[in-house]
Amino acid sequence: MELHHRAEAARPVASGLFPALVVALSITPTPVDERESAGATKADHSVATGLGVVRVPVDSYARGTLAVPRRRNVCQTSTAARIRAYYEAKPEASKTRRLVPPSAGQRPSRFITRLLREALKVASCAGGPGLSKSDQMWYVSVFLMVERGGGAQGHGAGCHGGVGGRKRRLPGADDNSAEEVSSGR
Amino acid sequence: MAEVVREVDSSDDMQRERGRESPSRSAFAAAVREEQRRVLSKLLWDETPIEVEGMTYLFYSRDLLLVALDLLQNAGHVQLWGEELGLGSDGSRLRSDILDSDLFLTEELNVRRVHGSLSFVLAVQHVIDEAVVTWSGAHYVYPIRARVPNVRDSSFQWVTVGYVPHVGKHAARTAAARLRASKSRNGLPQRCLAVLLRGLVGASQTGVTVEFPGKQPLTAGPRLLGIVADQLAERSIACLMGCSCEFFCSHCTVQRNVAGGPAGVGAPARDVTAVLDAQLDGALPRDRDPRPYLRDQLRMEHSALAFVPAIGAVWGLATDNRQLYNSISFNLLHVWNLGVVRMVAQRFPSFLRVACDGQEARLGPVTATLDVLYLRAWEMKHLNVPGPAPPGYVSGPLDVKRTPLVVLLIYLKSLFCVSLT
Repeated sequence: MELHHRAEAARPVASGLFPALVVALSITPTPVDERESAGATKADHSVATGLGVVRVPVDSYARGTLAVPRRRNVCQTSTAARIRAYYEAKPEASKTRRLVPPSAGQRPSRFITRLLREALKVASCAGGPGLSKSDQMWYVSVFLMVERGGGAQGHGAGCHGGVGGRKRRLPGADDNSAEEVSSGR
Repeated sequence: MAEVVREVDSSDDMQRERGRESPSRSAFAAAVREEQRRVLSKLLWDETPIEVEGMTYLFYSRDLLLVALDLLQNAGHVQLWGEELGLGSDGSRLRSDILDSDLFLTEELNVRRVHGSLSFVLAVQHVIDEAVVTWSGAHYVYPIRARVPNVRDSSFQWVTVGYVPHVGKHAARTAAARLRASKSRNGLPQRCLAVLLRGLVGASQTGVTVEFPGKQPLTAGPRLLGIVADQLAERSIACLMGCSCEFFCSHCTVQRNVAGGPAGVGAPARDVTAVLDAQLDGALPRDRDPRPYLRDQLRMEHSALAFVPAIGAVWGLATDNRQLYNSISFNLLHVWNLGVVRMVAQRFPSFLRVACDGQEARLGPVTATLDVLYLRAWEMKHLNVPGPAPPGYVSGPLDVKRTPLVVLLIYLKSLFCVSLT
């Protein structure tokens, strides 16, 4: 049985945010394999020290886990606080940084109309990972090319009307438009 | 569309990016990139370099506490307190979701005991699935998603809060390389989780004040009340050994040789504090002395690894009712990770012949289908050989004709469909 020194307690761990009581167990003159006497002794120790009682297995010598009496640090705190302190002591705890500077988030969005947002959605989500940069440029060029063809046919009442009406016209408008797209004009 | 480009193209810096030949096209691409950065900044995405075994991995994440509070703030319908539903007509307990579960109700008692009656449990659930392969060709990562059950909106979705880097297979076939890869694979997710949970951990102990419009301030006690994972991830999150160990059950200490029989009934539950303390005691010297046999005691007594489960720092999982192992839920879509995949895959050609009745499968001939399987296995790297042994008492050879169709369907679905985001 080992007793605890109150004077060595209360050493902050890790970043100091989570004070954990740490006490050092002294080398005891009592043989570690001596069986404890009864509960009165245990109660006395608990009252005197304010801490619990640490037992070591009676067959420690036989198993070789405690070949010599040694000093151990025992944290008198919750397991959760110890885990927190353990990870707060890791080097990456202070290396987190913003992926994008905050100033980038304060700019207003350029995609403020529904049409723009839909175009953005396709560019960002197509196929899962979104379009590559060259595919985005190709995507816009297709829109521009189709719109130029639509304007030449007298449907140039603004881009919203042009795009909105395209859905209905597509089945019958395959002659010129498809030819333009396939030829790359 | 010209208006699209004009609007995107309006600013001066965009004008500068315009090329001579196709100015609008490059401006659109630049605007998309800028919009992505703007959203990443507004959502407070962080990056954390984590060095494990000499390799530096980048962990992309958001602060989970801020995400949870943001979801709560923007919700249309919120339920703060749980309620037991009572008994049904047959006398059985009615259950609906997590908010009337024993897990939630007991944690609610603890939170209100500590923080007073004007407090509530801010429940957070996680789903961690290493089998989810990202679309990104630039990053080989898998997502961590979260939801807040207090939010009762019907349209509510899981929110991605982090991307954990994959740890690849070891290149060299040496014991040292295997050990290094094993340590990286066990250690990296825990350190990522520790970064992700940093804000939540502190708030789970102290509480955080939440103000709803027109209401008096309340104290939210964040709790991790559900980690949805397959068995591999479950063992990994809890830093326990794989399914071929002696104590393969995360909840109890039933021994492998008696599991599934009468002798296995009534096995004592795992002592959360004892296992965590042993893991902490093992993890500290592990950094100084990597020799595995020094952790034999931990392996024999608890079938645990000398790593520390980062979720144990969240209040309520290792304290109070110690719900660490109870909070892990099973992902039924990934029963194939339990070794079923190994048993099924070996018999897949014969299954295809029976299922297709001599004709071709949907993906073409049997050989082409197997090529797709191999490609999928390559994408998932080590995940197709996760279970060196059948899971627990579910053992014995697999008879394709007698195997429930649902198992095969789940396997096929997960193989081809659900694992891509």
